Amino acid sequence: MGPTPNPSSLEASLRDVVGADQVLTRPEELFVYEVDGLTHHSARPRAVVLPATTEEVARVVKVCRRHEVPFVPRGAGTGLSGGALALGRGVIIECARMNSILQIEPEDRYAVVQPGVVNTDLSKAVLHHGLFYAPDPSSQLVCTLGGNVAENSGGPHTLKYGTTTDHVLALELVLPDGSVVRLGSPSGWPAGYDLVGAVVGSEGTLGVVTEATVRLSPIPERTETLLGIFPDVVSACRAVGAIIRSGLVPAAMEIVDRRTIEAVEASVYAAGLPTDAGAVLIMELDGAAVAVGAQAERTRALSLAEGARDVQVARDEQERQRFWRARKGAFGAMGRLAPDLYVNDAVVPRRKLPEILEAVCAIGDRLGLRLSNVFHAGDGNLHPNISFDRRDADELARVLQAGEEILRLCVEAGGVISGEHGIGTEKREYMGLLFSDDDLEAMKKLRAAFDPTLACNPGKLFPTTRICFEANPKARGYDQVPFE
Amino acid sequence: MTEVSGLEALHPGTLDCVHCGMCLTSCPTYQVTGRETSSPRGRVYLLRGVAEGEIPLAETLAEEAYLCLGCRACETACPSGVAFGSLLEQARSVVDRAGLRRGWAKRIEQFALRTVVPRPRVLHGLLGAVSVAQRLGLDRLVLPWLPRRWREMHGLLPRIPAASERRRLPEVTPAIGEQRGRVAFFEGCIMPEVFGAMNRATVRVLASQGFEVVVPAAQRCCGALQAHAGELELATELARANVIAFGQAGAQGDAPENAPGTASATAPATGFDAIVVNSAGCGAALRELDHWIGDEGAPLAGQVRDVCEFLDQVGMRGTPRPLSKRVAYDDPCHLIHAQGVADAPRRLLEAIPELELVAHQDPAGCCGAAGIYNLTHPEMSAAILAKKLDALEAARPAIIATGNPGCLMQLQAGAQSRGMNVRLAHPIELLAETL
Amino acid sequence: MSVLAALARELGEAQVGSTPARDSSSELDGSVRPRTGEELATALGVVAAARASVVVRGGGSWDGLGHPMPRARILLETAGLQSVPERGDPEIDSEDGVAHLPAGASVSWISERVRKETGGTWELPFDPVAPTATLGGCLATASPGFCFGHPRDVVLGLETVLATGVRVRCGGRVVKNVTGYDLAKLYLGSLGTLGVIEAAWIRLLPTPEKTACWWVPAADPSQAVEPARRSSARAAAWLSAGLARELEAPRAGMFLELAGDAPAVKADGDWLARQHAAEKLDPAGLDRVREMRARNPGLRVRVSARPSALTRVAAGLSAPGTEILAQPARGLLWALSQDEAVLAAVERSGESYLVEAAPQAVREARELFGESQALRPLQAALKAQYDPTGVLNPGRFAGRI
Repeated sequence: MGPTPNPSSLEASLRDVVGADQVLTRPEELFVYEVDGLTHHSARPRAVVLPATTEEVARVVKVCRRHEVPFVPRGAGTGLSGGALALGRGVIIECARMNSILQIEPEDRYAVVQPGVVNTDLSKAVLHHGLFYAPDPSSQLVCTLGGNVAENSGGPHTLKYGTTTDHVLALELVLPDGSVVRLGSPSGWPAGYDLVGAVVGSEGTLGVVTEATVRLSPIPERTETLLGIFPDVVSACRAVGAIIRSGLVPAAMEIVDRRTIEAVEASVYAAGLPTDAGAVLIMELDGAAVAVGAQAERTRALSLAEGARDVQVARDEQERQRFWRARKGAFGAMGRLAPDLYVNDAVVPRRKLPEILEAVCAIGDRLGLRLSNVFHAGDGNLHPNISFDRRDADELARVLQAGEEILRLCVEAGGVISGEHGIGTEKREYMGLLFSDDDLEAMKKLRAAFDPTLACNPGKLFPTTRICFEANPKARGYDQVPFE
Repeated sequence: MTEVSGLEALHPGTLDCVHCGMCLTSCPTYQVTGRETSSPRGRVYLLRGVAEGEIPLAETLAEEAYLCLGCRACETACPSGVAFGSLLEQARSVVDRAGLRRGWAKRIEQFALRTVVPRPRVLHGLLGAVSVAQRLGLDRLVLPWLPRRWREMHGLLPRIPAASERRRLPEVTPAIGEQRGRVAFFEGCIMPEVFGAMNRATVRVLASQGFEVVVPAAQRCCGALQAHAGELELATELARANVIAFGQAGAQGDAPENAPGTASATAPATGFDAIVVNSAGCGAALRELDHWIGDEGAPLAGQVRDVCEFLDQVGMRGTPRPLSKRVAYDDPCHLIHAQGVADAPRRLLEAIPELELVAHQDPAGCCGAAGIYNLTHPEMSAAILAKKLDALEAARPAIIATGNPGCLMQLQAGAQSRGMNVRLAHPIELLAETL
Repeated sequence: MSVLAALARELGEAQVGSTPARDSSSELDGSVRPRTGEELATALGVVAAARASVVVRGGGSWDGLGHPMPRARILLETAGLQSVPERGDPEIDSEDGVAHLPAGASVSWISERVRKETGGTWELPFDPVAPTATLGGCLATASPGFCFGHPRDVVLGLETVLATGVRVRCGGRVVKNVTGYDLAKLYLGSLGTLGVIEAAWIRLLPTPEKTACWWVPAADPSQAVEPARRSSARAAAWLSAGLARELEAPRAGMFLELAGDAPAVKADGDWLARQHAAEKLDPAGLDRVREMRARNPGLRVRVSARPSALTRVAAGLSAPGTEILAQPARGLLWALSQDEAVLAAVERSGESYLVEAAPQAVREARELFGESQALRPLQAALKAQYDPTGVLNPGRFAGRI
């Protein structure tokens, strides 16, 4: 960064825009904004601003530009790739106060929301119209729609319903020069370039989303949830392959492996799963009442044919919740095993799942790590979880090594290095595994069209050596993170 | 590490947080401010940063330690098992010892918590004076002359019953009909003064269900308010006194007869089948007595039951009389989040014929009372209360039922200020009315 | 040396045509027809170095779309692109339900191949205006049909060649992917103005167990929204009275194809008959409807509006000699007319629109892309980044960029 302008003037200008009590500048306040959901990367912001309106966001951006300070939008800070870190001593634009649902159009099935609206709150608000907002990241109780748009969030039900990008119709965006544009329209099908499609999933690097028009989906007439108990994870993966191959499109197919079952059953989340099972596969089918029952029966038969020991069909909502509890409690159960939990994210072609799973577990075993798998099998989206203690420098090094080996493995299998968490700071140095310099240059052209001075959320997505991380002060040993 | 005592002790508890953020939306103060600093995750991170010497022990932590309501909704939301309530008490203690808390709020709080609340006679006398003043309208006369904050506080003050209503309960109330067991009742410090009728209703219901009810005379304030305010020494002193009071009272009586359907078939630790509490805040504190005084508190703590939980466990005898009303039940934080009791009160209410239990949008959120929080942080408290009232108002109940005196007062004051035509009641009062 | 001579030297005489021609958009000096991504990259490199420009064409079904391009004097034919990077042959993965397909292959050829190679389990989710349409053309125009959604829903990854002759890719073969910017969205519907598509990874859809076609009487498109949203509804086309008559229907109504599991198709059919007095139709009706959508009576305008607004928009456009088609569930409407008054009427509707076909004079004189002027600087900035010297279809897109 160049010479810093008089610090008081930036903060004073920000206070002029949003009021003194909506600008945080105390060292302790900035300290808590140094990380998001990924704890082993950190960067302390120079200030945190909490605007309430689009106009305030635009003015904040202009102030930042005038002072040549970078800025980064932030939602709930639950991202898992370091996307909301303010690199280069930037200003965090915290969108939590912009949390109104502005408009609900049940007839045309869309809603207009501010970026700070919590994912599930939207579904709750439209429930009485028989509608819901389909993308359901596991953090949906707390994560914001603005964050979902930035990261193109997924979730268990993206198998059938698609990810965030399939549900965003229009956006209001504060461009990095402080001007405000409206992209797309509630009716979809823009005549010009698909700028909405370009911005969704851009990890907050193209501007600050201040309003989103999102699609609402009708609540399916009927839902069937099945729990398949398998002798090992490989046969569960094979069942997923068989179901996909058959042309069935379940709403969700989630695998929980033996190591996770053991942890879950030993924790407060115990769901009564057989601890001698090698894996469980949760399958959900939804749709027309007349068709779902037969689909569930076909799914059950395919699972049994691939070696399932037992396939249970949930008899009521309570049992359905119990099946899901194993999946949803996994994170917490694994989190209790050790002070830290690293959730990796990669995707492979679905038919490669059996061999990849074996190889992933082998990596964990070879490096002596507590690694388990809970994942969106229907999408081929792996989430190897590693429980560890960041204070153990050697273990930390092995965790990072495992992460890298897993990514290489997935890329070699024809996969990619992120299915729903994004690249952020976490994986930016691994982009080269997948993309050539030319590919990355083509992406940078999009960036340059929106943000020629690279002021908006710099240091994310692309391999770079220009912006320094600060070593996470609370995570001694994290200076070994292989960035710079 | 800094040298401020207490930080080393709380540091391990901060390591349980994996920073997932699942607590954020459960937190009433985060909902209002949208700030990471006012969220459970942010507060744990602050504590950890201070404990590890990364940031100074300064005003942000001091403010946040007290801006937190201690509702512990974050504990319910936390997948990773962070004991936030305990961290909070330790944090407040650290802040106080570092001399970071000054000003009028601290002074009022100290006077109330050290001098008034733990001393039944002082409390009785003071509230007696208030009662007389209210009756004569003197309070309204002097109101305009009082500072703004005092005027605001006045709005929260409930109508204090006359002295005859504020008498203590009899030490022993015999069971009615076939005796199923013997319980102790924890009457609380403010409850007998302000909610005497509620206490009497509790004893009446317990007796009607076949339980002899003992009210040990030597019992004292539970110490919750003191502990939440970081006054851990005073809380500890009160806790020890209660262990002795209930232990002695239990030893004096006959051993329970273990008739069929009693709460406990094994020899109870205190000589009672249960120690029944009707105030969620007191119940939560007594249940965690062992956190303050170790093993010494465990026997008492292990036997504490919320009155609704207890009645739900042992099962109500007979059919209640009908009560044809729309009732909205609101979970006290210290019942649902600190004690994990949510279904029992609802089941008891639903069992009343003709009673229509209506759901509302925000049952498990804090109402903003939080002990004396509504006095120390009136603006935040009002913002949190507004959200709660919006939800309740939309459900159009005739009665709002909730099992904690602080919540009852807060909701009563809020409902009144909005002109809502609704009655506030403890679920036990509704049960008593339908006996 | 002329550009065509340079192209002939680099790609071989056989890939270059030097007969001058005039097409609906430009005066052409000749054409080039690369067979591989390498040849495409080489060709664009030669053109860029010569500061010349190309008109990109796939199957030719959308030649008249967009503004005329007087600067472009070489036709770049992509129909020769019949191989995918690395592997060469198209890859159809019936286990995963995905396929890697070359841009030059025709949709009908691919559809047939997908059907054959997957034993009929999967199908290619494209519904082009003409059977000769190439995959690349379908993606570059992102033109909606009646049957499937937007191509953006099924494109997993793209290999493209930029204006500078650099081959790049984005996305991949997996069905869920947030690795890097989603550039595929940008190329889709950009009419070849940002890059030329070489090959694509496409998500296939399961072939429905059963289909059934119905005629649903509906006086206006908004009345047709609910039936078009039935869970098994796939192709939906509301037709104004003049078009309805071609399907032997007396009044306006909707052609509706149901597709899915047999019980769901039956249940929805029963519902249509009961609630809307719908009648069964011959499936051949779908081809007739496709033909109507491809028709060019002189002017064809596509309007995108909220479903509830379709009736208002249709009423505003209706005039003697103007016929209307609509996909009610997706909020799409086409006006077919000879009367230029329809353009003013569309403008008045306030909705976003695209003039899909118009006489040369209209295409030269007025803006064809009806959307917010406020987006012009951003769109121009994108064009400047991806094609700074105007190699690809210069002047064709919104705002003549």
